[in-house]
Amino acid sequence: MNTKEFKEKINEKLNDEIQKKNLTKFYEDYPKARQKAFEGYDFEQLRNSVKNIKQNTVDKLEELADKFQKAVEKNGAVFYRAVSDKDVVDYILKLCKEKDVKLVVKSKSMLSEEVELAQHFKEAGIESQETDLGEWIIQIAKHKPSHMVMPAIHLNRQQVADYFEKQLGKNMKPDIEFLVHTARAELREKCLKADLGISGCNIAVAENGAMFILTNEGNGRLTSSLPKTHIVLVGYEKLVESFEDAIPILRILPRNATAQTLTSYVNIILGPSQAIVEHTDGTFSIEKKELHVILVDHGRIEMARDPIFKELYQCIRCSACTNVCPVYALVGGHVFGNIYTGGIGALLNAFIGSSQTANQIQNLCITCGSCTQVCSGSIDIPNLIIEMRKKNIEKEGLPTIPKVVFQNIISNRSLFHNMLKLARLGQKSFKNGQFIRNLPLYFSKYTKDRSLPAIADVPFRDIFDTILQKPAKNQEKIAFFSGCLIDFVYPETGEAVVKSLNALGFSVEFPKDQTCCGTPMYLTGDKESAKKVAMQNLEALESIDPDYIVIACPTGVEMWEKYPQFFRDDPKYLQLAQKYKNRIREYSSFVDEQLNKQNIKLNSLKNNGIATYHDSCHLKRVLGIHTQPRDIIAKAFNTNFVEMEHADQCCGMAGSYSLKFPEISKELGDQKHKSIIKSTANLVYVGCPACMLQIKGLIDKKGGNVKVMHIAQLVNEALKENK
Amino acid sequence: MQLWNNKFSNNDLEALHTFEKKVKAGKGDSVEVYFTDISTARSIFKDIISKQQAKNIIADSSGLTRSFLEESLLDESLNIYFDGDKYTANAADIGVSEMEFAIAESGSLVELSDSIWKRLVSAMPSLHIALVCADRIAKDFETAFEILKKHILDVAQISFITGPSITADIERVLTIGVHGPSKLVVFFIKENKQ
Ligand code: SF4
Ligand code: SF4
Repeated sequence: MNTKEFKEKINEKLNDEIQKKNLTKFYEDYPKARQKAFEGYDFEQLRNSVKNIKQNTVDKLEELADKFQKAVEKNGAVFYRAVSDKDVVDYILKLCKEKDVKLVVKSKSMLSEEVELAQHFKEAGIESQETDLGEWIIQIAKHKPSHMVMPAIHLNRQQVADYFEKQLGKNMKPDIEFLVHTARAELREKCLKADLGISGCNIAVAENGAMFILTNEGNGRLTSSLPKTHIVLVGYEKLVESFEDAIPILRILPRNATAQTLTSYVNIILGPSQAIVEHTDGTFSIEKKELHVILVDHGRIEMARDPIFKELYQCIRCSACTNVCPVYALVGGHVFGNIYTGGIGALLNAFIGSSQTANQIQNLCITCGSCTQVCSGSIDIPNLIIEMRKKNIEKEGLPTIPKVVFQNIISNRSLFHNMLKLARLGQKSFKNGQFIRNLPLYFSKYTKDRSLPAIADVPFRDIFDTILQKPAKNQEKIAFFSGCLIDFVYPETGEAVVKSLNALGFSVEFPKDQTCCGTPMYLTGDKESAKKVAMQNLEALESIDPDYIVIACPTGVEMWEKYPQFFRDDPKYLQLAQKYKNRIREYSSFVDEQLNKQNIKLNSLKNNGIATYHDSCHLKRVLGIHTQPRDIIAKAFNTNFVEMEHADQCCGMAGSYSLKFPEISKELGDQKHKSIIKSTANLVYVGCPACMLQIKGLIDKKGGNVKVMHIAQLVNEALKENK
Repeated sequence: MQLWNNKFSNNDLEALHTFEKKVKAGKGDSVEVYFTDISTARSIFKDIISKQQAKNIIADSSGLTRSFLEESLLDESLNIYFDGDKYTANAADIGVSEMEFAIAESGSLVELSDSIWKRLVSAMPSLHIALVCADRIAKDFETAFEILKKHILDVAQISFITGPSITADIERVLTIGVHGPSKLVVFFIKENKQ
């Protein structure tokens, strides 16, 4: 799919009212239900066990595979290792031929989707029938699954009724119970007649060959029981070493997937059991079943050997990540994914699925971090997505425009800063021109749904020297690292940061040689340019050697914390990067700590009106800072501090993302705007300049008597009369 | 063969209550749980039969099941099968079978599923009656796995049954009875062996 087609698909999905309704409802319901399901369990401890179990699997992959094979064979099943998708298909088709199979029933298996088994059956003239209701619906609708656990979540009852009508040639009413019972009768017939059953497997135990199959519908039991022959498809990532390793997975998987304690059925298969065989004379006999177990590689071994992406083995396909993903909620799994859906889908597809679409899908991630918080295997999905982008750039190079900007402009500080200053002079005439559009802060289509901020007349770096600071009470020296947005777009925020820190008794310095933190380059995968600016920043700071580096921008904090990664082979810079990593302080948490420690009271700002707070994705989920800014606001506004709905949902600003997918960014923005208006606040505080840019623009374009400010502005104002 | 290990037998009322809470959670009245002696269980069963107007019953042939069905066997309006082919199983209204034990933590029944007939008894009819000795309840998965592990090499299939067959595949609306039973009735039978 080329970019244009992909964009068209995005637009189509954004306008798919049915899918949107279903997904929005789910997105709203899921977190509460999930939380309830985990009551009485320590989620962090559970997922830590899962992580350890799967890391052990990766470390001993070959050993466990061998053990599993031995155990399965000892249990009396036929074992086969498939390297490629073709191996899987060939083996199954050959077996079908030997057994003269006419009808196959399948219970849910992502692996069978991955190797496109249904397509191959069709070509071979073998009837294959999905028995999971959702899978069957999409089978007859000829769709791909749009969700890993609920494959037909994009459809409503009317659509399902229409598909059933077409398939069965009977009249259907759009009544869910009726549709389910129609499916029961239809699928039961097929299960009774089938010669072969195929199922996936959720957990495969190396030490005894046990295979766990979790289903709610009970189709797993029927497909494994009724036909004489049964094939289980097992991906390497399903292996665990010991029988007890299944316990944490049983505890976490159903809770995270569908907020259930346990699926209605868990089948543990330990070998071929019995089958009933009916004879033509009307008699029947009980015979031994034939059980085949196929252990499938198809990119999984390469994945295990990759030092970074082996983390993907920690995925147990619970889809919790997808359920909380704001981008998924907007566009669904046909755009954001391909068989494997959501951010994890983008990653898995690069190894075990369709790698061509994987790149496009990755770009959809706004790296908001919601998924990582709920992931059963503690996978840092956004981080892996950034790693994947890096990998792609190493392979294919950057697209031309960012390349020019990153490698020639931003990584050259004086050129970059001069250009920004020039941009201010020329912003009227340049606003729609190439020049501004190519700067990381200025996005071509960005102006359509929110106003573009103007570059400030005087950047913060030129204002800093004019700020009069009181003599410091504290010995500790603070350096302020502003980042581009505060420096060139919101200098008043910079001013507030410096003045408020000074009011707290610190002297603040602003090393002038500091430059862009490197985030725009890092996010698009251009590590070299990011490294270059990191070196400049480290040198700039080293000239002052401060006790703290205060940053009022969460992505800036994150970037600084990553600096050591860039210099693994460069001891000089590595030492610097590590030294300063420990001295980084995020503004709002630092201020909150100081207020409490020094027992300083904020003046009441109640007369300013009603205040609310928007959680920046990075501030809340990556840095874990969300109580501190609230504490500060409450200190100044008391009962006039109100929470908006979904305060921690992404505002739609995600750096250059807004350039690539302005449509999605717009939807998220619309939702944020609604919550703000509904909250009745006239002041919105944020802890992140990028969110400020987005929300200011939203208010400006869509209306509302609301002022958007950085929390530093609050602190500064509330400390003023304290002097 | 018996999976349950008598050394774990108990009278853990709290565990029974946890079981009931967990197995019923979110499933409305599609699950019923009784702790009772066998004769009361029989009379509840009788009511169920007449309410369902059931004709065909399939059952496993364990001692507990046979004893439970004692009276029903005398009822000439009922056909009771202790074995058969798939179509017999498919035509049944009710399946009755003994479960090895229960797991409180997850509200699950553990079925020793080696026998294909026994598996069909719990998988095919729209009503499944599960019988468990009241003292066979494992507190959590750890205990259950310890018990299972002992026999793991002698069995070919084990199932955990945690409620009726459900789906939420259309608009996420919970719907009961898509492939298997739409109702699960659990009898914990108290010691009272005649
Ligand atoms: S980081 Fe956010 S956008 Fe990206 S996959 Fe995770 S939840 Fe979705
Ligand atoms: S990435 Fe994590 S949350 Fe997503 S499906 Fe895998 S285990 Fe579940």
